[in-house]
Amino acid sequence: MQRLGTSLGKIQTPVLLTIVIAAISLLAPLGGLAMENRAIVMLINIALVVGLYSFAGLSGVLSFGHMSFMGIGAYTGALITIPLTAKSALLPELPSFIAHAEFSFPIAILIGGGVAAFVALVVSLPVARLPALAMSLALFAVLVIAYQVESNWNSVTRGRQALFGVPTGTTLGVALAVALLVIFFVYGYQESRFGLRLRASRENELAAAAIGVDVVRERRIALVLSGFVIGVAGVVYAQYLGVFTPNDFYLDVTFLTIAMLVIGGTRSLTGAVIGPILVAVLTYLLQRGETVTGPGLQQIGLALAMLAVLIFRPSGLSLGAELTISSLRSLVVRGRRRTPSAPASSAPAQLEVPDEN
Amino acid sequence: MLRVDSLEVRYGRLTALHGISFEVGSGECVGLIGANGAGKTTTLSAIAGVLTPAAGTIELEGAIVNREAPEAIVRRGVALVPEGRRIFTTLSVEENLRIGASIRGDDEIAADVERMMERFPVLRRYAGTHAGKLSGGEQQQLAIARALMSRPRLLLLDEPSLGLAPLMVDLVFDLVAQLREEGITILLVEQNGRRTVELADRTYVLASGSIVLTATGPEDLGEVERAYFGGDAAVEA
Amino acid sequence: MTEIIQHLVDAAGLASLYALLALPVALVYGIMNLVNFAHGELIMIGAYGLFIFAAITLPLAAFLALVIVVLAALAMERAAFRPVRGSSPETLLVTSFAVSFLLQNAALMIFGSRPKSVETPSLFSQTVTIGGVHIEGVTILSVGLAVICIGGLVIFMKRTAFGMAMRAAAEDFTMARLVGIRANAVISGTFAISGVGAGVAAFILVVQGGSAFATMGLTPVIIAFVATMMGGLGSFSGALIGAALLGAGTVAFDVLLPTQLRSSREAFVYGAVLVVLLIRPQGLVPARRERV
Repeated sequence: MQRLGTSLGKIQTPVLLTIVIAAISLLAPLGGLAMENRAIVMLINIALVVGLYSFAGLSGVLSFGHMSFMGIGAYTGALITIPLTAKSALLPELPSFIAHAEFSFPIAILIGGGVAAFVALVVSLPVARLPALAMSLALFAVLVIAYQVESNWNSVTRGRQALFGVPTGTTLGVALAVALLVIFFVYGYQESRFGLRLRASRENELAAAAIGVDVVRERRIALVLSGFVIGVAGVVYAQYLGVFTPNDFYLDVTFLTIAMLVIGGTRSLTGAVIGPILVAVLTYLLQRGETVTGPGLQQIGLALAMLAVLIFRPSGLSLGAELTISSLRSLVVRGRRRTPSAPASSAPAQLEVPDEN
Repeated sequence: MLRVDSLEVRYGRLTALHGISFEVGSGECVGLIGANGAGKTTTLSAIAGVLTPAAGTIELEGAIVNREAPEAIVRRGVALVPEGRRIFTTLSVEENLRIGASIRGDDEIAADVERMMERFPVLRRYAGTHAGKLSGGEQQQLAIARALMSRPRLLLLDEPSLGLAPLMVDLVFDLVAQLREEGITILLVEQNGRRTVELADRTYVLASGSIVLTATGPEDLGEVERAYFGGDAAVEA
Repeated sequence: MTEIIQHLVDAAGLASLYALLALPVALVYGIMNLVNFAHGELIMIGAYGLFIFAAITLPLAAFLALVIVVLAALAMERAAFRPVRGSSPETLLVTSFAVSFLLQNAALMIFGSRPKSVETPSLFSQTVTIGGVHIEGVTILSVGLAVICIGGLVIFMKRTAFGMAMRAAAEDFTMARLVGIRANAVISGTFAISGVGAGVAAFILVVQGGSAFATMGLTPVIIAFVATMMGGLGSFSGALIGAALLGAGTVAFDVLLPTQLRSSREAFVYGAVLVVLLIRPQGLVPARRERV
């Protein structure tokens, strides 16, 4: 087993994550169509959260605005895949270059991601220069702007009315393929020189700048890449839904993806993958509970879970570690010995000022 | 008054203090000297409640105060004049004095403010202006005056002479001597080893987080110099 | 000329409301580095408070609603923010985001998604006309309350011991504790003040919109964020300037934009703010930072 870990070397984390996700995807259809759909949504969420992680996790700058790229990807992908006749009936005032465009699903995915990445680039011009916390808030303003544009640009998006007639090309296989590609792509970025520099700036912005890391530039790159990934996920999501409104890319999904990332752990790719899986299970259970309590339990339960993680396990359930063969081994060994798990953050909290009693 | 026993402080995995022990008796003036990074400020921070010890005990007048918050320590009659002074620059000089009396509820605060201005005439001159406008030496006087406003029985001074002009350094050391005369117990942390040893009843030399020597008077200066770091000029500084 | 004065009056009304939204957020951030997403939900709670007590006379209802908001602010700090105190600003922000989502959904569960209409005196919906300039009752209410609250806050900060402690804590929290200021007291006090701000804003918003609903805190909190960000995070006067500019900008876009774009007014305003930040990333009045 140790040898396997060494031969897999640096790519063992995405490979192990692939095994986990593929296993879930293979098993899900056995539970019927409803379960299969849950799996599709979970896979899309993984793509979204891993995309969010590629910016927020690696840079340490929380983003409330990334789901705007999801909306941009979704609308772009939909507008260039809806069949021409249906489109002219649905959106008669569409600019002609879009009105006459019809692309296949894979091309649409790339174009959707590309447009989202371009918008991310434009957004990054002012936003990437801001201090970290102000950047989080500015990205939130970006989300509001995107939502307003989608809600009011009637000739292109149908405004608040639903856009429908979108081909539903997203199958379980497509969602799985996209999620896996995204995981490998983001892992590659994380381990690249760019990712390394960005992570250095996360740990200590001043020290990173002192050794020559251009923090603004690295954040800008991350913003564009994450915009692309989330744009791609948006296209795929739109082709799963077939019908959507601007609300599908606004606060609920923003909260959901942030909650997933926080619960899984913002500091590792593994966290960004297990977060959506855990939340999928939690949501399933809470939805069953809602038959007793009425609607709302799902959201409240998720918010409470997130708060519990923030208070009791701030580095998330992954504890900021990556899944590797050796970490699996130690998990197994530890389980056998039944010793309590020793989290990586067990260093005494020395700098913390004691609380007043 | 203060008894520190086997005190150990860590920053994450880094151990800053390796179990130091010392005592400050009531009415004494005790020095704590050492090079940069020796652990002097860490010691004071732990006593003042800003850092929590990993092991060992800090005892104030018989009570173990390891886990007490800074605001509780002040209420035990301990005041800190921190490194870098840390006066409130957006508050006026007078407000800085009044805020020093935050733990008091008596009606002599105004009189004490008056007394401080008597003692430090420069504070009266700038009473209404923002404290940020004061020079380094003036800020140091304000920081000490602010600490005195709580009427402490134990005063912790963290490098009060750092970065001051020679004349100001004299003034600060004279002031410490005066305060001792007035009966305030003093723990003085300094880099200026010679003057501290001359002034204090007893001086501990800290190196790399451990106490390596205890000096009781000027006759020990030679030894202090060697313990410090091989007779470096820093003791003279 | 009349037209310009009219626009200025409208801008003053908006700016007053925005200042009431931004100041508490800036205040809490200044003390504990928390950008409080859930401030909007305090406003929401205030609005539901008005709805619940509306059956009694309005002044009493307003007072009771205010008390409830202050208690909610204190409870929020105690339950959610105290356990994570001292964490990074990002962690604090995301915690408040979770609290916000939690309260919103709790309100949805309790009150449902349909807005609850609240009767307010017709006095506020009347318009006074002076020399051709129309002044709405809500505008007068907003400006009046803003002047009273902000003036009161300034006096409180300058003249009271607690206000002085708050200013000291905002500059250097640890040093404030070292002179004996109780951390919990200062933070609770600051949250109570932010609760008062939220309660007053809730009153204005209910008078303006006539109803209480679960998601009503969102727009105010975005405005508060944008104003404080534009002014410079953590800067008290910056928040006021940001609010004033945001109010003026909103009116300006309302006047200048063609009708079909007017519904996306906020998008333009926030876009303009981003352009301002492109020029001044630290905000218009960069806050004085704590020395280490």
